[in-house]
Amino acid sequence: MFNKKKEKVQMNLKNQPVPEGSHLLEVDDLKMYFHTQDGVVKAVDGVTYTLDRGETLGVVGESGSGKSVTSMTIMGLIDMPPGRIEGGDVRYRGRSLLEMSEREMQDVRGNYIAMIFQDPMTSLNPVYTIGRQMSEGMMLHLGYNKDQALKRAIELLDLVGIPNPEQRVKEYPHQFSGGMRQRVMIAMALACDPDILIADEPTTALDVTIQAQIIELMQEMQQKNGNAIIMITHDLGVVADITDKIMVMYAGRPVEFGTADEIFYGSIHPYTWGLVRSIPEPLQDQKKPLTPIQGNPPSLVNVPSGCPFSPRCPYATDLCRTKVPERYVTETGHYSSCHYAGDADFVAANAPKTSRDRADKTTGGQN
Amino acid sequence: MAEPLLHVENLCKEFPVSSGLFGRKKESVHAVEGVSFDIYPGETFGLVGESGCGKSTTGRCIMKLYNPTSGKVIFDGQDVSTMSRSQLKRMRRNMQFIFQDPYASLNPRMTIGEIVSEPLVIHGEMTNRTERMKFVAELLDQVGLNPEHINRYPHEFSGGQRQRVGIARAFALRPKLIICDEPVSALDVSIQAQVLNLLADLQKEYGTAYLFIAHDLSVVQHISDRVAVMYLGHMMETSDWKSLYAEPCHPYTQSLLSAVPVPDPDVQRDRKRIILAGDPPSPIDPPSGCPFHTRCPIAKDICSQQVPDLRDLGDGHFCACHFAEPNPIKGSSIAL
Repeated sequence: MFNKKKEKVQMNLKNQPVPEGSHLLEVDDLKMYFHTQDGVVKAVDGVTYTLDRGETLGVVGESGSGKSVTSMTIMGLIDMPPGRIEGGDVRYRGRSLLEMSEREMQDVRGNYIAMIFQDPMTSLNPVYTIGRQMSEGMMLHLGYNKDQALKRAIELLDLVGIPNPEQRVKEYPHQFSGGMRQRVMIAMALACDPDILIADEPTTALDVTIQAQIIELMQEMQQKNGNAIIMITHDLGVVADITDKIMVMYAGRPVEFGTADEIFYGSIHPYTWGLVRSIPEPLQDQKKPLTPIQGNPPSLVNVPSGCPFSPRCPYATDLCRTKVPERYVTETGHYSSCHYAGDADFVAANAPKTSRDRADKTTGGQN
Repeated sequence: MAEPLLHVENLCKEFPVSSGLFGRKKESVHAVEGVSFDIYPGETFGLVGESGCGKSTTGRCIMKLYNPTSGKVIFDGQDVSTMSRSQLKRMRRNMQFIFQDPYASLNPRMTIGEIVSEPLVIHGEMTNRTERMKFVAELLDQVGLNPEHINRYPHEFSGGQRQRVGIARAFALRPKLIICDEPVSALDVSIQAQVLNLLADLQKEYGTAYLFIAHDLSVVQHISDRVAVMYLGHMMETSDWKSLYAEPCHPYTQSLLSAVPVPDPDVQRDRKRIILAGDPPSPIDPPSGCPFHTRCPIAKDICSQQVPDLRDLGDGHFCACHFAEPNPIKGSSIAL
């Protein structure tokens, strides 16, 4: 048993360099479909992105757009069947996660890639103390004994700002508030110093003042450890706050991917525009009605033909309704799945005005 | 100024809880402590605050779904707290409720036609079924649902569509006031915008007043004429939406606004956030003095000793802080 543990520490993939020409995490045209009685649910359909250390990727989309399932697929947490990988690859430091055995995946989870979930109550075990739950990963992945792990757990709790950690480590989840539980989850996720931290709506269940605390904590931890973060959320504000890159998902597909600036100030997909327009505008003199996206998101069993967004898109043409758009990629790697993404006039005429446009106009007038 | 439609004065609600061995120690949750405000016909009054601050309890006390511990609620010139059952029933015809959860608030065994027409049946309006169903079909059309779906059941609809059913039900009696308790927080952002627009359109048409309870500050800003901020059962600040958002005078309001992430990276990078330490205290054992003093960055000795009054700062701006002034916490930009 002890030998096994030592072996594991030796084959730590985390310490190996990222192969030349590849990224820390590469998701390449990943497709994962659920085969259900009602038909094939295309939950993840061609997701592509890259991530490096120290970067933060934001994954945005409405409920049912496949944001969480994508990450669960990467972590190998989807039951197969009903799920099945239909194509594509996920490479971590040049090694395919999809080809790894269950045994190897156990090393990946928690050790190389850790995850925090939306609901900190249901993701902690109510019958074990916080210390015991935190120790589990460290004893498994780092080969710590009980005392070492508990000592480290106290340090970690202190690090994430939990007062009186020596005492709190012996307490149970119900003795913590929502924000404190989420801090415990973050401490637990960071226990093995993972390369990638996947945060699935980590602040959605929290109040805004607590949300600000948690976001600040995640950023601080990232600066300290240099890990990458994948932030799954529906809140564009949170994404604007902390991400470097953004992937917008709709109906299981990434419709747009780019840097935060590209998505917020130079978006080339009508769905992203619709999302931006749906949010109440910042303080203004006159209130204007919102511009919602009409209709409802499609069912993934019955994705519309052509572009999946075409039934709700105000600019849709016959081409959109019949043909699935190719990916339009710019030089910087910003991509959009829209037939008209390359048409600069179309984009200029229809994209929402951003704060930068407004600033340009005012300075332009002065010059 | 016109007569207020709803006048709430010093409303308090305590819930008894038992603790200790065999529940011998009797304590109470101070959910709402001395909340006062007026709502005028046709306006939207927003009530914001974090979870557990008593905003929903306030809404329920007004409708007398909870019996207030003390305080006065006067609706349409009548005191709600002394009403008999039959008077309450008559009163509720003019005061309806929209609930947060569009899944739990519709009876799964009734068709949406039955759900929307139920208020009419209860209040004995439109006894002719054909007439009633025609009216319901029109109403469904108005809230953006296909009138042909009148015989479908709630499970056949999406979350946004169900919330539309809830709205149609609330509007069936053409009430004077609708209490909207987090009506959009369970919905996706694109659907949320649809529902907010619908509420605004219906208000324009029928002149209904809304008490809009929500935790999302940008949504409240968008829909409200006047806004009140609650914390731990107390009303901290109330004003018209523009001055509350542009120049919050209470340190809590300012921190709350600064904590909301703005969907604009340029703005967000330049902002200086106020990060409040700790969690809100428990309403079972609220702190002495100002309820916010345990987390307030500018708290002084007086704050822990004396409960600040809701002071009038002029122009209908009220604030319960000993040190109320525009943007009391220095060195932070809010710009929501």
